[in-house]
Amino acid sequence: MTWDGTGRVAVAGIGFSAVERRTTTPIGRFALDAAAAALADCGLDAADVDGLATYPTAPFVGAPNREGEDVVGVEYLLGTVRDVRWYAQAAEGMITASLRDAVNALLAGACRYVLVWRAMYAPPGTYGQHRAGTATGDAQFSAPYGCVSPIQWHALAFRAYLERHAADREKLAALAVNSRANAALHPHAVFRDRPLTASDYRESRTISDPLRLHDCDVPVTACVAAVLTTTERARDLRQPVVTVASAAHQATPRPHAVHYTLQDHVEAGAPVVRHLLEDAGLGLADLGAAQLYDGFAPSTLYWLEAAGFCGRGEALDFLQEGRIARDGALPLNTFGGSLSQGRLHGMGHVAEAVEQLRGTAGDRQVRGLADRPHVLVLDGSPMLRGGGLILGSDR
Amino acid sequence: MSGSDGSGATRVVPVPDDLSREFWTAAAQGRLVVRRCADCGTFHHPPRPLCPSCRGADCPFTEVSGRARLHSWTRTEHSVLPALAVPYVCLVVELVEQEGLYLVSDGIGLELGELRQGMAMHVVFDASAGELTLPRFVP
Repeated sequence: MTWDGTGRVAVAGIGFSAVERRTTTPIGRFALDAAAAALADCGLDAADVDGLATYPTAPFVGAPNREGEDVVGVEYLLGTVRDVRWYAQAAEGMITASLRDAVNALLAGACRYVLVWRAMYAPPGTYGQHRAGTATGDAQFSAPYGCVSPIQWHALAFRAYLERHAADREKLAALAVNSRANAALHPHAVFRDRPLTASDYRESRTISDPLRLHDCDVPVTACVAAVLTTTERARDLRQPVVTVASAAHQATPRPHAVHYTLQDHVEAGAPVVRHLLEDAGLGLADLGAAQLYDGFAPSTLYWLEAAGFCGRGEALDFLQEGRIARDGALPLNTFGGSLSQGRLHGMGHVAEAVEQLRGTAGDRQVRGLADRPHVLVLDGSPMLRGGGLILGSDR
Repeated sequence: MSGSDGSGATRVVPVPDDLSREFWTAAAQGRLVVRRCADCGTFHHPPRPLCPSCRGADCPFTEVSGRARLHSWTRTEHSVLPALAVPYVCLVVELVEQEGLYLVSDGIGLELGELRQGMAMHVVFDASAGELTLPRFVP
């Protein structure tokens, strides 16, 4: 069964703000810059926008989530757009949830041009430290034991993975090294001038075993925005048209537990990719590249296995032998990923898919996309109610 | 606010609520209890008003053996909790009563080299952390 929305909505414009590690500039400024860049990219101006969508949440425990301070929600941008007919603010599901909301609103005719953005804030000090002396709710069963941070939850899931599959964690170096090489070719990547070798990776410090520094994305303050409209309208705009072939959301019940489990990640991810492929009428062999979320590196492994690019427990081997390089069998995170471009929470992945399909990725351009003009984007880890898109060329 | 135990660790103190109070009260008496659905027999943790498996409303706290198998662990070396000195080990154990019935514990005093998935663990009750007794799992 294919979806009757396939190819009818386009990502017409994309835009980046500056990407900074530490800044005193308010996050709202970054959002306005990204919005202006996305509109200029497709030749529209703010008066054309009549739809808004974002997933604004600041992704660390204890974040204030205050408008304009560490988040930029719909409320902040409403004042800059004259006549909004539709908006949606996703409570979970990462930015692909908002993109999917925008696609459905456009298919329904609720609005004409939707601005979607993801603004991220890197607070001063150590990111995401748990400062409360007490723990309520489910955290009362983990925080007293010192287990308070997403990196520990990811480390626990990855340790279980390594044990279950008797896998060699050193092979994970290939992902960070591949991403850093790609970041060197991306003008907005925060680590574009910081090469990384496999031995740099091996020697980097442990954050929470088995995860090391280079398995973690780099916190930044930045915003990436996109303009979506119908494919028909997009053909009159400035850029080569990139369409949404399918959009799907993780909707599998989580195992009931106080921490992430492997089932959360791999089992819950599989239906997302199955829905994306079925709706688009495609198979894995039709995908010319993949941009897979890497907030922590193991998430990329789980998505590779959930998608079926390799078998369960085989993703670390899949990363080897140049398979994920730009000229490999599956070019992966061709812009540097969150690991090396910066923590843009999936919007960097989306922007890269658009640039690759336009053919405007410059030195990063994947040649194989000429024959396989679809890119898979999977956002979040499945346990975060992640989701995804397949984008394609309008040819 | 935070309690201190004999190992020098400063702990975040759990705040019991209506749903969790019996867990902590039992721990203070040296018993490990987990909610179990009277309809379908499935244990669940952390506590929920309705059984996550069948939505049954009658899920009394039920004493379990305190025996478990080690499921996973991490040794945290970068401070995520200013009150607690790094490095330290966190554990996830699976209670023998049911597949996928996990509890979090610390592994203070344990070395990475001695940990194996599936190794036998058992509960101890640590009353040194202040007002509340914490169930912890040790080999």
